[in-house]
Amino acid sequence: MAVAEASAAHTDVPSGVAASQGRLSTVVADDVHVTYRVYEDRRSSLRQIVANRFRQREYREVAAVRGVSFQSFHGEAIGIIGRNGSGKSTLLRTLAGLMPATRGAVYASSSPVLLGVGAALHPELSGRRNVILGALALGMSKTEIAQRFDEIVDFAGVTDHIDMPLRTYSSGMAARLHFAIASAMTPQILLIDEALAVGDEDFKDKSARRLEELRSRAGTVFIVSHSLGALADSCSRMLWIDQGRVRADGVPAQVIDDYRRSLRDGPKRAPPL
Amino acid sequence: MSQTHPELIRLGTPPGLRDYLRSIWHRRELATTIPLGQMKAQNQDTVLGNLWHLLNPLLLVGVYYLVFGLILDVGDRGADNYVAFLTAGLFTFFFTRKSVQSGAKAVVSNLGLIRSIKFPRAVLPIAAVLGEVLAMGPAVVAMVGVVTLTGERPRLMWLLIPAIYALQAVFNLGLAFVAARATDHFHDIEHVLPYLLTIWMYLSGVFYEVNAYLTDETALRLFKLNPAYVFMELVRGALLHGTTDAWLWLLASGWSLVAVGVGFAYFRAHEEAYGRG
Repeated sequence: MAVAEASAAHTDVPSGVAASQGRLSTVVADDVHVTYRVYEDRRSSLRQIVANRFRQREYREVAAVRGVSFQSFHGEAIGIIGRNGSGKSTLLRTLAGLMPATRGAVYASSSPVLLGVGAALHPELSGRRNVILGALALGMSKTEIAQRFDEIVDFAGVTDHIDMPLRTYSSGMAARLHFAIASAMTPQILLIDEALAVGDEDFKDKSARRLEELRSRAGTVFIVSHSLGALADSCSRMLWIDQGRVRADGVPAQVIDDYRRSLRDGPKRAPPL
Repeated sequence: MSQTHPELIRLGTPPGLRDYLRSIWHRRELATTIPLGQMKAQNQDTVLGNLWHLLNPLLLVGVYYLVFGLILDVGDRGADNYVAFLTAGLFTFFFTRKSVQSGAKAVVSNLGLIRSIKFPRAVLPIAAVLGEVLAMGPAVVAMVGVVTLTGERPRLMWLLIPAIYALQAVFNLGLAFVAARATDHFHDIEHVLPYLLTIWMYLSGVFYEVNAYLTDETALRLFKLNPAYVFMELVRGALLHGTTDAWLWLLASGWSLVAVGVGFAYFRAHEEAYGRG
């Protein structure tokens, strides 16, 4: 129990959670709740604004994540599945530190890096400048980038287009480039949101190998996706998120089976926002 | 056994001031790279390209000289070398004006970066002002060129000009922080800003020698507290008269410290929320 105590003293992680059975944990989510505001689309007219005495626009609170707890370990690839609107992407953004938890907390061994789909960094700038900006923002140094630049571009397969503005890239090319940037610095914790769905077969193979590499370097990979087949192949563990809560957490085949069955049985959709 | 498990850090807690400053320093190469890219992108479809950074203020000097110097004859009162007076004022005011405008765009034009990567957001306004500092180099050369053409002879005091602009850059950074956060709240500010800045310019004595126009003592004293006026007076003193004034330096330092302190605190208080609309 000395281990748990030491960790609690250092980081105020709930005791007993940081290490279990001698495995090294990378992420600990402790009763994470995320609620955010969605402003109504309807723009108020000037008259309404005055009538409301300049109060803020109308909004709703959306409880996207409602109490998620789990712990991940070195070398795991964790798939996250669930219906549209179940809170998967919000959870991922919170794990990335891009969206604060309203309640509860996330602890991690290093800053997770999020790889989202279609997040063009700077559409007007060339692919080259995007690689440099993205890598610098991730915390790489210029010398590191210079060393790894060719490898990144080569991996993304955009060598011929590297000096064209990003807006001229196809969505597949942009996603590949983004994946190459995000995975280049071999983050210990990589979060992937649907990004694998856009590449062609060849790129899927390459990215699967890169993920394998990351895992073997004692990292942890989280993947949100709807392509259950691909997830079953590449993940060692599966989280099923339903209405903002963990519905199941376990062996991929088992969780996917249960998930499929629930999709067939209950046509129940996620509650409207 | 306790060495084998890594320390876990709690995510999403705002870093302390020292850690935040350190993380900005860690991203300094990002701050210097962003403006270079923006300069590339800005004028890439024009024939003259980045020369426009110089031509714009020079053409404005021409326009204002035509209106205020020739048609309205403002130059007759108080300013003996009106073209030089105007040039020094305009270039100095534009340094602040452009910094505020770039600052206003710093967050809203980098939403892609903000939404996908976690990094200290303060890097963005800093990068915006750094870009204006870079553009200021050739601008100063052009300004000195114009002033020399109007008959001023080089003086030792001219060496003070980089120091004045360095101080002004700190002041500009404070305003850029404020503009960046305010624009993230209300994008409308980008549309209002040009008018506010124009009013400020007219109130700062870019075109006229205020001593010849304002007779009321109190009004004059208030007018001269205006930071834009303070920086212009410092530049004009060094550039046109070979003089400098300790009181002006004190005022300029005070304004710069207040602006950058308040601006940074205001910007940082919103750190976790940028890019989430």
